[in-house]
Amino acid sequence: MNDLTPQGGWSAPVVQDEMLLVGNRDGNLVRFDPSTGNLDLNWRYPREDGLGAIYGSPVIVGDNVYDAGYTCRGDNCDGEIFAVSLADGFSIWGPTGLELNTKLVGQIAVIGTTLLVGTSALGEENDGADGYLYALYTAPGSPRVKWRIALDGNAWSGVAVEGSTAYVATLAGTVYAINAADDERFDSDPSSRIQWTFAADSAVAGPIQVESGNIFFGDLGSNVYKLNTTLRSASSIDSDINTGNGEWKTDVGTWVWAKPLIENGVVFVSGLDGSIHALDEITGSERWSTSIEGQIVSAPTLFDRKRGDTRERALAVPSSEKNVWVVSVIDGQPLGVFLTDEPVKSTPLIYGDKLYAHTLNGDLKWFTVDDTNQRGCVDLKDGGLCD
Amino acid sequence: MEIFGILWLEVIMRPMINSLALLYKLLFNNFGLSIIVFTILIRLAMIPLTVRQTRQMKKMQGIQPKLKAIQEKYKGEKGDARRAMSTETMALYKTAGVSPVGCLGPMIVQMPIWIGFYRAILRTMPSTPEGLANLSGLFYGWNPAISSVPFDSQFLGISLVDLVSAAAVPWNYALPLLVGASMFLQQKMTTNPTSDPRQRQTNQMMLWMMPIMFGAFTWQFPAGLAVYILFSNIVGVVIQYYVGGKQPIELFGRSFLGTETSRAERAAQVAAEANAPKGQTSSPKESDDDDKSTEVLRKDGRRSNRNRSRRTGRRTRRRRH
Repeated sequence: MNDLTPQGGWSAPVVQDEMLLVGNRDGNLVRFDPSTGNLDLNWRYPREDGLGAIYGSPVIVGDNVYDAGYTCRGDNCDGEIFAVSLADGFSIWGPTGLELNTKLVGQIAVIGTTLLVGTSALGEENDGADGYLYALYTAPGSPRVKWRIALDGNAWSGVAVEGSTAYVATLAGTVYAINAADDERFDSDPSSRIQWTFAADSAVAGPIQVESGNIFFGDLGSNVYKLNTTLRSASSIDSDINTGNGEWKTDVGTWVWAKPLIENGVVFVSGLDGSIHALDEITGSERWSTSIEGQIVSAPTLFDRKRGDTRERALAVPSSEKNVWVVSVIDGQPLGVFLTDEPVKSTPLIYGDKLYAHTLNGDLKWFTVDDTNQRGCVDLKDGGLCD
Repeated sequence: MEIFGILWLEVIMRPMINSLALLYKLLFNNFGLSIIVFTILIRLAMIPLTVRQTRQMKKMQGIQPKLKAIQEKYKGEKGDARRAMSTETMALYKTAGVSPVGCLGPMIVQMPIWIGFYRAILRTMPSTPEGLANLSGLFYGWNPAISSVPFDSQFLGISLVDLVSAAAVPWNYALPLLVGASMFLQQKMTTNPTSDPRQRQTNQMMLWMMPIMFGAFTWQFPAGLAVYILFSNIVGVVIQYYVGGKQPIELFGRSFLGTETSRAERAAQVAAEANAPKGQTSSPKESDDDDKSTEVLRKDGRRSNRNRSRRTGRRTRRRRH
C-alpha cells in the first residue's frame, strides 16, 4: 500500500553501435560491450545512485539516448526523464533531466523533435488529473516541456507512435490517440490534440503495439483488442468495437500486460498467468495456446531457432519464475529453454548469434541461440562477475 | 517451510483478498466500505472465540486468590516442591474448568487473521507495477471484481493507500485520535478488575500506553489500515459490551450504558474496593473464595503493607540524607 521503493523495473536491453544499453536494477542506464563481455564502467547515468527503477527501454535518436526512471519513499515519488549523450553517457539537459514527482513506468517515445512520456498523478499538483502525457523538446539544453495533456488515469502503458500520432493508455482503461505534431493550432488548448479515445473494459497497464494502421493491446480484464486507427475518429463511440472495420476483441482468460507481437498474420499474446495465445490477426480467433511457468510481464522475442540444418521461427518467452522458454510459433510446442535460473521480466534481446536476458536480480546473461548454452554473465551494477 | 507459505496464501491471503475485492464490487466500488464491512464480518465470525476468551478470563480471574495461595505455599521451595506446585496448579485449573491456553488461544487464532487482513489490504491496492502484476495470481477466476482492478482508493476524501500523515486536515489528526480513543474504550472494557496492586498498575499502564502508542503509530499507517483498526475497535467495543453482560462503561468518573443489575453490581464492587484494605479482594466473585484463599489474601495484604513500610522507610532515609 505504501510505496515500497520499486527496485529494478524490467528494462530490456537495446543495441546501438554494437553496444547494448540497459537500465539496471538500481535505476542506472548502463552500457555493455558484447564483444568483450564487459560493462563500460565509464558510461553510466546517473553517475552515482540510480533512479530506483527503469521500466522502459532506452530510446536512441541520433547521438542521444532518452529514458525515464523513478523511485518512491513513502508517498513521495521522484521521477526523472533524462537525455544523455550516446558518446559518454553525460546528460545533455544539464545536471539532471526533467524531474517530476510521479511514477514513470511506461516506455517513452519520440516523434521528430518531441519526446513523449506518460506519467502517473503528480505529487506536487492537485488539479485532479491521475496522469499526463508530457511532450518535451529533445534538443540539448535545459529540459523543456512543449505541452502536456491530462489523462484520466496513470499512464503505465507507455507511449506508442505511428506517424505523428501517439497512443497512450491508462489504468482507468482509456486509450488515447493524440496528435503529437508541431502545430500552432493546438497551442492554446493542448487537449484539442486528442483525436479520439477508446474505453477498454478494464485497466490497460501494458504497452500498445502499432502495426499498419492498427493498434493491438491487452487489458486487466483478460481482453485483447485490435483497433483500426485509420478509420477511427472523434465520432467513434468510445467502447464500440467496429467489426466492419476489422476491429475485434478476444477474451484470453488472463490479464495481459506484455505487448502483443505480430508476425505473418498471427498476433502472439502473453498473459500474466504464463499462457501464450496465437490469435488470427484478421479475426482475433485463437489458433493455439500454451503456457509456461510464471508470469509473462514483457513481450517475448521472435527469433530463428536452428533445427538440424534448417531454421524455424520461435518465441523466446521470459518467465518471472525463471528462465527464457522457447516455444514454436507454429503450434506452441515447447522447443527448449535458456536456463537463466533467475526470474526474467524484460524482453530478451537477440543480437548476433546470442540471446541476452536481463534477469530480475540485476544480471545480464547471454546464451548461444543455436545450442541455448550460457556463454557469459555480468552484474549490471558494477560489472563484476555474477554470484 | 514452503507448505506454510502455501497454507498462508491459500487459507488466509487469497480468501481475504477475494472477499475484499468482491465487497468492493458489491459496495459501489468503494474500498473504504469494503474494508469496514469486511472488518465487521470478521469480528462477527469471531464472536464465539471472543465469548470463550471472555469466559476463560473471568474464570481465571476468579481463581486468582487460589493461585496466589498455592504460589505462597511453595514460595522459595525447589525440586519436588516445585513439581507439587505445578500439579496443584493444574488440578486447580481442571477443577475450575480453566485452560491457561483458553485465555490465549482465541487471541492466537485471531493473530493470523489480523495480520492476514493487514497484508490483504496492502496487496489488494498495490502501488508498484510489480504489485499490480502479482495481484493477478491472487484472484479466483470466478471473482467478478477482477475486471475492476485497480481499485479506487479514495474514501471520504482520503486516499486509503497513502499514509495518514499525508491525508488532508482534519483526517490526518482525526484518524489517530479516533483509533486511540476507540482502543482506550475497548481496553477499558476488556480489562478485568484485579486485587493485585501490581497487576492493577500494569493494567493502568496498558490502558493508557496501548491507545497512545497505537494512536501515534497510526500517523505512519496507511489510511486504509487506520480505518480497519478503527472499525475493528468499534465493533469490538459493541461485541464486548454484549458478551460481557452489558456492564456499565466508566469514563471520567461517570457510568454509561449498562443494565440496572450490572450497575448495582458494579456499585457494590466499588464500595467493596473502597472498604477493603489495599491489596485485598475487590470483586464479588473473590469474596466467595474459601478460607484458605482469604487467609492468603490477608498475607498479601500484610506483605503489601510491609512493602509499603519499607518503601516509606527508604524514602524517609533518603530525605534525611
